[in-house]
Amino acid sequence: MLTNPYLPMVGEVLENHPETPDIFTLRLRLKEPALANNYSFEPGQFNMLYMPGVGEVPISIVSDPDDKHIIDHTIRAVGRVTRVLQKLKVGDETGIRGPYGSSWPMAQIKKKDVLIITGGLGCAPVVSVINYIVKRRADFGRLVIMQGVKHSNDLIWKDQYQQWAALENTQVALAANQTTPAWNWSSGYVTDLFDEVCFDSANSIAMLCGPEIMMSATIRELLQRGMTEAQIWLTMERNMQCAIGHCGHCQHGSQFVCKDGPVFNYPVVREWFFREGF
Amino acid sequence: MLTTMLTKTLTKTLTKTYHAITKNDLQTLLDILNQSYQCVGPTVSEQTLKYSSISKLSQLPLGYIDQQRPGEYQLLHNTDSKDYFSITTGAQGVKPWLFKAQEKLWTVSKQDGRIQFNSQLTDEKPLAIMGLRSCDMAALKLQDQHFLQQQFQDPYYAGHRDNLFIIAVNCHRSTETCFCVSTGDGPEIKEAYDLLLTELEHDFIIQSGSSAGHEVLAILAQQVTLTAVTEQQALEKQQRLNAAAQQSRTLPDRPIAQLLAHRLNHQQWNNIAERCLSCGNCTMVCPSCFCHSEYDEPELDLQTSHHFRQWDSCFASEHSYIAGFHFRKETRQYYRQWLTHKFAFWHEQYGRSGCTGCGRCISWCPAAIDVTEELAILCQETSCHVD
Repeated sequence: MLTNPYLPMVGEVLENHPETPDIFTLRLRLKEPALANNYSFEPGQFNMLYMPGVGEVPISIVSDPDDKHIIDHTIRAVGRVTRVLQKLKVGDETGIRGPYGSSWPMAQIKKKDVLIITGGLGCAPVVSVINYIVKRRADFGRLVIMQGVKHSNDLIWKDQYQQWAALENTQVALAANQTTPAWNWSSGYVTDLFDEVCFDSANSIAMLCGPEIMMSATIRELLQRGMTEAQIWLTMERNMQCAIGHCGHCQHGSQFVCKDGPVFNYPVVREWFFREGF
Repeated sequence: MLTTMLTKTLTKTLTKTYHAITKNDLQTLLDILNQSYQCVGPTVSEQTLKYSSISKLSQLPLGYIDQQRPGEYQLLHNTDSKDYFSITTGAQGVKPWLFKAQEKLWTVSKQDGRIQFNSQLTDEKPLAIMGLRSCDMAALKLQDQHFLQQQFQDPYYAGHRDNLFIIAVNCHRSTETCFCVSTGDGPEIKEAYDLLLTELEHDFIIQSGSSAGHEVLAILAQQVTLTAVTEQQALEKQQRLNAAAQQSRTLPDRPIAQLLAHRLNHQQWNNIAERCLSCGNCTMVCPSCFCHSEYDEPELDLQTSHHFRQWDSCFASEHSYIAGFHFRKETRQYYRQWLTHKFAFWHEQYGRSGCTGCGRCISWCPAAIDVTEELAILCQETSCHVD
């Protein structure tokens, strides 16, 4: 008999930490020890989280791949399923399938400068990359973290950005469109931050996450600054129901975002990227 | 399952041979198959052809033919006809038997806060499907590629597909909407069958194409007389195949995949959108379309929930929906997604086009939109607007 990739495993809630009123980080572990021991993922991959009677949603994994038994998901409560996930308490059980999809090219980027450029609330898919690099700092070149938010109040993980900014050979640049007086970072879009940051464009890799309009503008800036398309990686979002390339919803041109992505090298998706209707 | 010493001997002698059987001998074939398989074949139902469980020859659509035109499907009955397989296609081929329109995937139950998942995979009697045409044989291969030959295998599809016994039938006529010749998929069936029938006026020519087919043919040979195919019968077979190859519709003889992918702003997409109702019928009748959505059906006590999947369509607005946003918002985009997927992106995904020329999307379109006509315009040499 074939294994059944549609069948969720049981996950137990170890922690449900509120980040903002509508963003929370859900820490799960697989209930079945044998499954927990076999579980491993790469930064950039995602799980399907399931609430009984409600449904399933794809959520990227933010924890470190070396922490075998904890799986963290930072989630914004925007839909039917995520609103119920937000209410989970320690010890509650939920369904989990995964990990699925492609991952950031961690092995290929050793010794290179890494630019992490994110927009909106969702830098969750790259947090695992930042933590991964921070933990293995000597393996990588300069780390540049650029994040843009609509309103300065939207920024989550403020302390963490401060901590990252204090690290050696690391630069953090944040921008908000609308700001409060307490905001001591830049104002404007994430693309306005390029004048503030330094990196060796010939020896860099950029990793992008955010709305496609923001990624598209960022790609233009990167190319103007001498980076090649092949140095650019990004993560995409589409409707995903099966996560295994069967249900068809996530198709983007010839790619199935769930299994060929969500992390893509830009040239692979360039032709259809940010085109209306794709 | 059907092997005996005798059949083993006979199997050898029957290898790669054609035989003729009478039309009534088909009943014996059905009886043999029904011992080990659940037999499914074409029947007339709801004024179309439908693949249903069958055990009697009388259930087959004797004397019926189909008349199909854009937006039109009609069955006609000729009491003088002795043909069982004159209807080319119905609204559905074999797809609903393997990739079911709705299927329960698993059940989750909750007790004292603990949850448990139970797969709904079941062992079933294998299927024997009679009557598959070249277009549907090609589409079956496409569905196999999608559900079984990628990184993940679909255990539900596999459960229905495993040990499937195929009695394919060569078409002896085409209807107005057929264009399998142009996609290279028909009308003659050349591979992937267990048994292949060609219907003649008074007989069938039967041939086997697999060891399971040899076995069944050997058992059949014990119960009915398999006669050698006469020159006259061979000639009639060829004439009938030639008749089926007479098709008026064709795909444009142009590099469709490349052209479509570069004509995303062609004004014809708007023109189509003015006629298209985005009802999704074309995707529902298409034998290669694979999109499906998943949903839960909780029981009233909320302790148990059943997780299903059902066919979905890229013409549904929810198809491209993620929290707060639709990637495709209008009919022009729905139709373009369907057509570019089927005729352009499918090549990159599965090495060929996703269309096998069955013509169902033409006949069952309530707005009579003809995919071959639209492609001809979209792929014209001098296009009005090309981006």
